[in-house]
Amino acid sequence: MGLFLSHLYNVIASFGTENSRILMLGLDAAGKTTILYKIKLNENVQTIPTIGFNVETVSPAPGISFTVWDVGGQDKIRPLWMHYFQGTHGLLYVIDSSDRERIQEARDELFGVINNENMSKVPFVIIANKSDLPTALNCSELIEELNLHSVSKRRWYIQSACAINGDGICEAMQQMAKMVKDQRKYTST
Amino acid sequence: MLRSEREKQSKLQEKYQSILSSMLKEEDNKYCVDCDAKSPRWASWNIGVFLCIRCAGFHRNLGVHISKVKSVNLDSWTGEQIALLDAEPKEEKRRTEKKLENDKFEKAVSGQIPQLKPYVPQATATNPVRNVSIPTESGERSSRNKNDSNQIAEDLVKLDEPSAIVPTSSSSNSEILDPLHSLFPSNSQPTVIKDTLPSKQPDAAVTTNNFEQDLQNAFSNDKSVTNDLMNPNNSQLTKDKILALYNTPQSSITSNILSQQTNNVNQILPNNPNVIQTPSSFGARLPGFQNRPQFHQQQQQHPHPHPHHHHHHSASMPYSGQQMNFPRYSFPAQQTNYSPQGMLSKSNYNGSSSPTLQSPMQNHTNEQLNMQFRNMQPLTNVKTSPIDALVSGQPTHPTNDFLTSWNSSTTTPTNTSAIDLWQ
Repeated sequence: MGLFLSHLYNVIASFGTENSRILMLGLDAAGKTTILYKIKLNENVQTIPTIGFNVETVSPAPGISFTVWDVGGQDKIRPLWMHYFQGTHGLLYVIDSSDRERIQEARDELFGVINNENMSKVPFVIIANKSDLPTALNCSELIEELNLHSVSKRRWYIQSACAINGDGICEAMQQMAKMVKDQRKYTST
Repeated sequence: MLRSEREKQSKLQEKYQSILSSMLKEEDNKYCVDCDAKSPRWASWNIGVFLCIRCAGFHRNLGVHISKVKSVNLDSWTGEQIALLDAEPKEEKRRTEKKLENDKFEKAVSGQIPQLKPYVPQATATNPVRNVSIPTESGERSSRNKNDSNQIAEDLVKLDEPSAIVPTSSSSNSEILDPLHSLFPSNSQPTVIKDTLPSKQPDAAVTTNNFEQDLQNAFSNDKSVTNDLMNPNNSQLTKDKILALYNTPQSSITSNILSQQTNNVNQILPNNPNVIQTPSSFGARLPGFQNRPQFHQQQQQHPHPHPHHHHHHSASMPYSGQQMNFPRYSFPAQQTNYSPQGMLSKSNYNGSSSPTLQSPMQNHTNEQLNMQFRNMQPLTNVKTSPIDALVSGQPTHPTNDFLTSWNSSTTTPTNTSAIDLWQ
């Protein structure tokens, strides 16, 4: 009986986030495709640079179902990101936290995305990937570098993660689900 | 203002693209550095190499602190990056890149697989082993072994030739074959050749020669004399030397006396198939290596051995030579008072309940203990063995009498296997 009730609760809870469309962006070689397939398959796949996009339906936790769009991050295909913005419920922005030289570039691209009119009401989660590397910046340093304190009117979250061993990925996805749910409630009322 | 900057930027990018395309037209850049795939479109600008998309994926996995990957077509470049990409000579790039990749690969592999360190025993007070690097030592050892084996092989090749000659030429000798003949071909054959073949002596001469060698063998304990006599060039023996032979064998006489206890056993030996089945242990226990040729000769000439030969065999080959064949558990001669507590516990462990063993025994001779102990063995595992009849009703026999019957009975494989199991 308890099992049935919990199952029922999960089913009801999944209605809120059913078919949530999540866009995953970030600079090239940040680890977007690796994270996507870590969620999907729980495996470390050997990736090649994404030209175009990958899309997968994943359920990182019970009751959470996402359609994740992973778009290539090369410099000259970043203008194509804007075509994926419409109808997106959440943004996953992946940063290579060990690549200190390109933090500014990542910040510029992030602000370019979140200031787009189609993304103005979309919550975003920043995944500070490759946190296992010795040169990686921690979350507070990244907040400083990315100037996230200037973002006041929106809900955001930053999660340190490592796609290779899966640390922080699940937490980021759960946070994403929670924020998407809250955002839906907010827009419906 | 902005438009002019954008135009500048786009012009610069076009310029860079043309530089990159011209670089890609060079012969060294027409193939991926790692996998030699045609027309690479990716580059690691800090290393300065062009890659295919697959190898670009591998490079991106290494991390930006090792390799910074950019696409030739899909990324915008800076002047610095292109300068770095064009800095090194191409051939050198290839080599360094390969080396870097190999190092990375080995590092990754060694991180996954724990490397086994060669075991070096620590030098302690009880274990004064030097801390020698093992690979060199083992290398030396292996090379030495190789040399040894080669030498042995050469010796064997040389020694095979006379053995092929012997049976045809010295027919009278070779017709009487004994099992030891095949055992010592390498040592016995040269003396046979030198004694019989070159001189081509008649049979009488051969017999006298063998008689001399019997004498040598009889008093073979004195090695200096036997060495003299063994010299095959010394075909003529002086009278002094022969007399000297008779003066020397003090030790052999004493050992004769010592071996009186085992006389019965020795008399069993020549006709016992068990002993002849294991001639390797028999011959290997001869003390001097020089004895073997004479022994062999004598066996050829005397298929029915004389008693005194056996005395000397037992003298030169102590009791341990026969011990191989009979008792697995023999008590040492010094131990007269033996408390069979350990034996009792063993028998209980094996589930045997022999009443003679369970009764307390205190003063027994070694023969009795051996006897009891051996009686106990087959009972444990074998029920329908021919040794059962022997075991059941004979508590006290002299050891040698028992050994005869025991040896004759051990020809069946079931008993030996039972004893092995018991162990």
